Amino acid sequence: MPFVYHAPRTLENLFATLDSLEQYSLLAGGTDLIVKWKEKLIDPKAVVDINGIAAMKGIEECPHCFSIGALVTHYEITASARLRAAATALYEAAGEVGSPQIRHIATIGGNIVNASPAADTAPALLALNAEAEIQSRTGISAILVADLFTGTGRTCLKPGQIISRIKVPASGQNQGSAFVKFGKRKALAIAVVNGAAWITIDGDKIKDVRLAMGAVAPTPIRLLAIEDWLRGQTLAASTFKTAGTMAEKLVRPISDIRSSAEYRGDLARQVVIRALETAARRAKGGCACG
Amino acid sequence: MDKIKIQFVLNGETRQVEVEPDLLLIDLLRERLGLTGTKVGCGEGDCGACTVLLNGKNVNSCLLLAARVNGCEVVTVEGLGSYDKLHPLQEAFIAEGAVQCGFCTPGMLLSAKSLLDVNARPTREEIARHIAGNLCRCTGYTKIINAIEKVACADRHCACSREAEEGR
Amino acid sequence: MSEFKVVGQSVPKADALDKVIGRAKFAADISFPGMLYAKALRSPVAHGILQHIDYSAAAALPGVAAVLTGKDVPGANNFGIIIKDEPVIVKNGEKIRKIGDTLALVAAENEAIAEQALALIKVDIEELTPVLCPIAAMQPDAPKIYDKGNVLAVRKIVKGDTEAGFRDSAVVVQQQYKTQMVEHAYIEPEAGIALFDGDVVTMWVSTQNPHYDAKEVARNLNIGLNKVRVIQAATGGGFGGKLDVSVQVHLAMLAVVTRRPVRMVYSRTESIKNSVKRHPYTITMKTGADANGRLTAFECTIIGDTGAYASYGPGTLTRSAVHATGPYEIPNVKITAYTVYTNNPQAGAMRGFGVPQVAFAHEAQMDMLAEKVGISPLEIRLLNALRPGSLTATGQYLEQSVGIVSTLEAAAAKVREIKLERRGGRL
Ligand SMILES: Cc1cc2nc3c(=O)[nH]c(=O)nc-3n(C[C@H](O)[C@H](O)[C@H](O)COP(=O)(O)OP(=O)(O)OC[C@H]3O[C@@H](n4cnc5c(N)ncnc54)[C@H](O)[C@@H]3O)c2cc1C
Ligand code: FES
Ligand code: FES
Repeated sequence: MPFVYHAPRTLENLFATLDSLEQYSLLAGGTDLIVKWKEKLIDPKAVVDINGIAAMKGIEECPHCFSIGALVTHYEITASARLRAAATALYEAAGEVGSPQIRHIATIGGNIVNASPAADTAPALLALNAEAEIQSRTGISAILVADLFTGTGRTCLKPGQIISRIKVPASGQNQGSAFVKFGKRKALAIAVVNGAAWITIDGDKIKDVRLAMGAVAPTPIRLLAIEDWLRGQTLAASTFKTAGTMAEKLVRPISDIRSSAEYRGDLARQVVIRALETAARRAKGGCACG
Repeated sequence: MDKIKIQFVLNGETRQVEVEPDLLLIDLLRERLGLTGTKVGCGEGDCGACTVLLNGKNVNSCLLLAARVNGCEVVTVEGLGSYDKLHPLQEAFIAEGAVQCGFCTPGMLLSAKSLLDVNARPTREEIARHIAGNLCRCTGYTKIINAIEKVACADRHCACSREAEEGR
Repeated sequence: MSEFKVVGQSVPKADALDKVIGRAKFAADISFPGMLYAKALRSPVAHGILQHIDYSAAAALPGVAAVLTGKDVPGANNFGIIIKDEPVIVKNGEKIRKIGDTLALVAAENEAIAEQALALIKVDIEELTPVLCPIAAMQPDAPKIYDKGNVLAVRKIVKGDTEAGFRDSAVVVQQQYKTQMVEHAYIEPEAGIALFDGDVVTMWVSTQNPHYDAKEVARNLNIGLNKVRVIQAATGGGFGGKLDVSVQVHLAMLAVVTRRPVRMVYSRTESIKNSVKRHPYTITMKTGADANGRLTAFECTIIGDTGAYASYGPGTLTRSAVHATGPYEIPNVKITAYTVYTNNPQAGAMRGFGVPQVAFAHEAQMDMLAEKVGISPLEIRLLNALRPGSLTATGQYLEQSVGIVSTLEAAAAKVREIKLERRGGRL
């Protein structure tokens, strides 16, 4: 069914518009929303196009972190040399989304709020310990992206709340991150399993680590038990292999059109091994993007 | 539903149109403006047949509300070249046998253009990656990549990697 | 350099210019003033009987120009390239045999109204147990999709004495192979546009088979073939899948009834649900060879799932039977190929037409035999390849132009060349 269209150009106008509407859908890139609308899975009475709101755009660098506008496209992320160097997992994940056409219009905010368990930027943001800034008419608060998801396709956002920006800590000395995706094709393939690792090393030891995975549970997840085990371990192929085996046992994937549960388990192991190996190599290499 | 007035530059010409809020760019182009060079293969962002350039970047016109192109520049295959003056990519697609059924061709050409506009000398790998959102069921892509590479090479008078490979 | 102008020369494709310019007219690109948009109501169930259809609300919707059901088909109400078993529109009281069978047609002022109208049509279907596995469909107690039974055609080829052949074999390999259903996924979904001038129906269609289309339109509209003109629009890929009727008869009926131009364009979902597929096969193959690897005997059973309607099924299975031995000479052969109806999407023509499926099986057999005999995959193929003077499974004596040996040799030479290169030119 048809809908009314609003295109507020400031946050103030946006919240005023949202207040005036009984039911609405926010439109960022629209690559999830329009598909759902075409497939008649949703029937919004109003579509609020947020693409004109400057405050939700741009990649800014603050001390030790990046502030990424929710409207930043995957393409913009892949074009940022700074993100490539200091938030490598996110840079890699954005480059794996869909196709060039999709990356040119799809946004990081939309990727998160759509809350697909297979969203590519999600494991990267979890591994990098990113925070989402939730904004509404009454104010602004921050929440870990990891705590945003409440179920498949669901977040804790309430009506009238939006994500305005995403804060991503920058990796520094002895730190590195990596993203790994298994899809059925090299492009235009939703992940069968994806995952990301962030690591801090101290000599030949793992000082700190974060591991996240997608498409193995109803939401993207952190693998906290494996992280605990990894802290203090030696950087070695055998360590990563053990972590991989732990992941295969830990995750409870489902069988669906994209894969059997068994194959997903297999892939989970590989994703963990490869993500850890690459992140560790980057941490050692000084340059995070090697 | 109230119509929305939009103004945008289409193939170099400023256009003012009134659109319904739920009108998609692909339908504006094909059904209202008669520009049927842009095709529909899936309607959901998967095939790239509907690719147009939005401010120089390749996008799926089947996923864009027409209202969103207000103030933007849009290029379709009709704006790429004409019978009298083919774009080098169009010439290369013909010469290299990169056109079979031709349904993917308009979208493919625009994706190729958006690549060459920012990267005049892409590798074959970069070309393949950039046309990954354009499915072709006929050619197997080799000749399409050859054609794009040919234009990239002609632009820079470079020894292109394929010639180098073949001359080996 | 060839002395010919065309043969041996690279010739620019005649329609490439129109296609790169965006001027080539595919069916969905053509429009006429006053055009209507057509949509079909499709069966949501795979097997059933249409008990009742109520389209009064749809017909009353403003902007709807026509709603047609089975009773409105003036002619035969069936089509099919080999067997006329597919209804144009399922009639009240008749069988639904697959998801996607047409139950009603709507022509409206725009697509949105046409869709709204479809949603207003009420159908009452008595559901029957669907038969989804061809092997189950062949059992005597299987639900009957057609009164005459579910096995549509059986093709047999017998040459020599396979029992004796296997007795004389040093090695035997027996395996079962399964291949999957494959969608052509031509990038252009089915589309067409039709006009009726009071005398002749003219249509531009995305098709591979305009002459056949015209005959089916004439039969089903009960008009002369000289009153039907089917023009192939630029066609965005077919690969065999656009040899069957899609929008043609529907469009012709709507154009005649409304006397207005009517266009019908499938969505991708509609295209995948309603178009033919590559036949999924279950192949049992037994191949014997002597101690040197020379083939002695071959037995093969092929079960092809042709889905709800025959399409090119019997032809495809015949081709599979004829090619089941591959490009190899075998003295003793016994092949049986079954074309079986199920309630799956219908299978028809697709690139290779039944040959890729059997090639998957016979080539795997050759590799396993080679391993058992202790020779290379290339050796066993060269040893058994058809040559001038060979007798095929169907008893055809090959006099000349048998390319498999020279092809294998050329391929082997290329492999050696690549291997050499990988070693940097060092031997
Ligand atoms: C062909 C195709 C291929 C794809 N491939 C991939 C892939 O490989 N990997 C992948 O992860 N995804 C993929 N996607 C999904 C999609 O492109 C991404 O999830 C994308 O990042 C969504 O962003 P968007 O801006 O288009 O979101 P939209 O569709 O605009 O929005 C998505 C949802 O988020 C809400 N929303 C958007 N922004 C905000 C905000 N700032 N605050 C609050 N709510 C908001 C919207 O209301 C909507 O509910 C694919 C999609 C298509 C069509
Ligand atoms: S029609 Fe837009 S991507 Fe297929
Ligand atoms: S030429 Fe037919 S799909 Fe590309």
